[in-house]
Amino acid sequence: MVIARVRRWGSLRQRLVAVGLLGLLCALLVAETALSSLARVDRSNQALTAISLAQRYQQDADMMHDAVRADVYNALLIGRRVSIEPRAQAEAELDRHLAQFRADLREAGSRHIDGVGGRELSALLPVLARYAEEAEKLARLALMSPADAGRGLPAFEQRFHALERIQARVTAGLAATEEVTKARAKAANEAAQNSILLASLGALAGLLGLAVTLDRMGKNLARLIARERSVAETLQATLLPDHLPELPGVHLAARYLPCGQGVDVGGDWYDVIALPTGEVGLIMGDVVGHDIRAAAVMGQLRNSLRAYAFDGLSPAATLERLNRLISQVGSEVMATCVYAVVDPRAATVCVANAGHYPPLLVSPAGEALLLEQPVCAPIGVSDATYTEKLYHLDPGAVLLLFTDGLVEQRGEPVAAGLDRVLACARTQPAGVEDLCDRLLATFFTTRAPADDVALLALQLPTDRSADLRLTLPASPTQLAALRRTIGRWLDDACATPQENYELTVACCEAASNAIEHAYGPSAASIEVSTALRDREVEITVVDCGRWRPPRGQHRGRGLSLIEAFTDTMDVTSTTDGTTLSMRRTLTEPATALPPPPVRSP
Amino acid sequence: VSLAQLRTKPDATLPHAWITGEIDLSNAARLAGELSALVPNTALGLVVDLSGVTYLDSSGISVLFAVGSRLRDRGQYLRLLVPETALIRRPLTIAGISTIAELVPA
Repeated sequence: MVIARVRRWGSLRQRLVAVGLLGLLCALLVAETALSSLARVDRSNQALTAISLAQRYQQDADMMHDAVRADVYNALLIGRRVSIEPRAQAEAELDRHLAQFRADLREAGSRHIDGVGGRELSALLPVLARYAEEAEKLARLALMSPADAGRGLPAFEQRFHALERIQARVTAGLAATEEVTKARAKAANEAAQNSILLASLGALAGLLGLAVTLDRMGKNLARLIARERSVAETLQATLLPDHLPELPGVHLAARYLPCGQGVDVGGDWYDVIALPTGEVGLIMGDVVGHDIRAAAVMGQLRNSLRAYAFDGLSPAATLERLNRLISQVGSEVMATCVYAVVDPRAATVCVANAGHYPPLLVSPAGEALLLEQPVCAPIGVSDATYTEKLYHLDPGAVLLLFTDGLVEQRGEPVAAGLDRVLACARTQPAGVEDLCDRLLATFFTTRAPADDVALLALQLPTDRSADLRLTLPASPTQLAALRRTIGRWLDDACATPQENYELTVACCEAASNAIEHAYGPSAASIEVSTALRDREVEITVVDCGRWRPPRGQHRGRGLSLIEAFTDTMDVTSTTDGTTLSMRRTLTEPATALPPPPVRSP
Repeated sequence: VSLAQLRTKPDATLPHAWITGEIDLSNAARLAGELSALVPNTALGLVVDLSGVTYLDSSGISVLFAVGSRLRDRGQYLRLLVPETALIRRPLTIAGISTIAELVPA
């Protein structure tokens, strides 16, 4: 699941990068177009400048070639002595005009102009240069020999008029080229503006794409997280008991308070096992990690531990096998766990602890203490060994198993947290439910727990000889527990060992009969109750099935044992079920009540 | 069977079985099969040591009856070792186990 999430993350990241790059590429492409358009605008502007300069110099040249023509005629008049203007002045004027003319031609020729105007201009300039030379020669000749010059005049005139036509064509050509260039510059300018607009739009589209992709990624991620959380929660829910078993001779209560933040699902688990021996196994554990993997590991640990516990292994041996199994599986699992086996009849609890918080014991007088013992390694540490310790449980004492969420609080040392819990538990315990409620109400009314909180509490009944009223599943596996409870009750009633054994056999024969014959294969329950009046014991076994007369020797033997071991036996059968009552008067205890066995924790 | 443990010593002439723990409706049927399988045709009988049994109900007694009657049909005997002081001795006697097996103090 986690791998799948990582894979999907990878593909999402790739998509994000792709969308980002695409947006960038679009923006870059469009920006490139805008830049080239701008460059075109710039080139067109340069061309326009060249054209206008060429036009200016060409117009100057036009004027100058008129002026030079005038100079030629002036020289003729001076040569023929018609004009009285000094000759030197005319020559100076001619030189000035020619110099200006040639300078204009150079300037006009130095401009590079494309198109028709440019071609015609470059064709015109050498013609003009030759015209200037001829004009100069003719003017100087006119000053010396006007007659000779007069003969060359018609050809010069012809050349001049021809030039005028060409001049006009060049002017028109330059004007046309200017128009074209202007139109091109305008188009390039518009294109640049459009491109810039497009580039902005492209960048915007890229950003939008990124935003949409990010949004989708966020939603996907949220969905993935939600799904992972719900899977983990479901997994965990199936691993926690949905109700505690009703076990003879003990009161049980459990609470689970999730911290409920983010994707975290606690790796806490607890379990209650009705052992075949009639003992009660209590388990509290915490797997490192808060995800589906932790929940799955929790499931493995829970079932493996159950299996070893059912095989009758002691708490330390159970944890040792569990650790060996988990280490062999090779998954990097780390979990703390405490396994306590309560024997209601002997009033003891045997505890083995794999790195978990020690169980808390509240005595009937209201004193609270932690059942601390040498610390053993958590589950997952290879080659770890485990020890166990036996404690006495007084009638009415409460044993509490809990996880770190109860104790640990941000910004507070663990020792202070433990002291808080001990102080809260240190009151007259009214019962397991009250203790659990009080702990949760005291610590988590105003703040949510930093980590999940799991509580599991067990109490031995205060008054052990009080009448029993047990409801048991109609299953042969319940018989051992029933024997323990009835045996302990008869002990408290000061029955002799033989009376105890025989009444226990009688009671269990009645229960066996109900289990074996009163029901079909579906789940059902039987009720066993006891009463003590003076020295007379009454044990009643009630089933909701139809009483069937004993079949075969086997059941017959059961009934004959009941008859042999009791004073009276009554069977009442109705449509609702069958009630079997047995009575036996116990012998008086030979001595005063023996003191209960004392074993200090 | 965590309630009871069975240890056996197969033998061609006289196989032995030691049972410890508790026998009730939940584990009696399995015990029956294991005990019967222990006795070859060549054997004179079967010795079952019950000194370690702390609880025995009518289903356990029935198993002993079943094994005993089977052995008797094959001309073999069943010998049960039960201490005089054992609490299970009285139910066995009441059920009439002596009609099918030899009850001897361990």
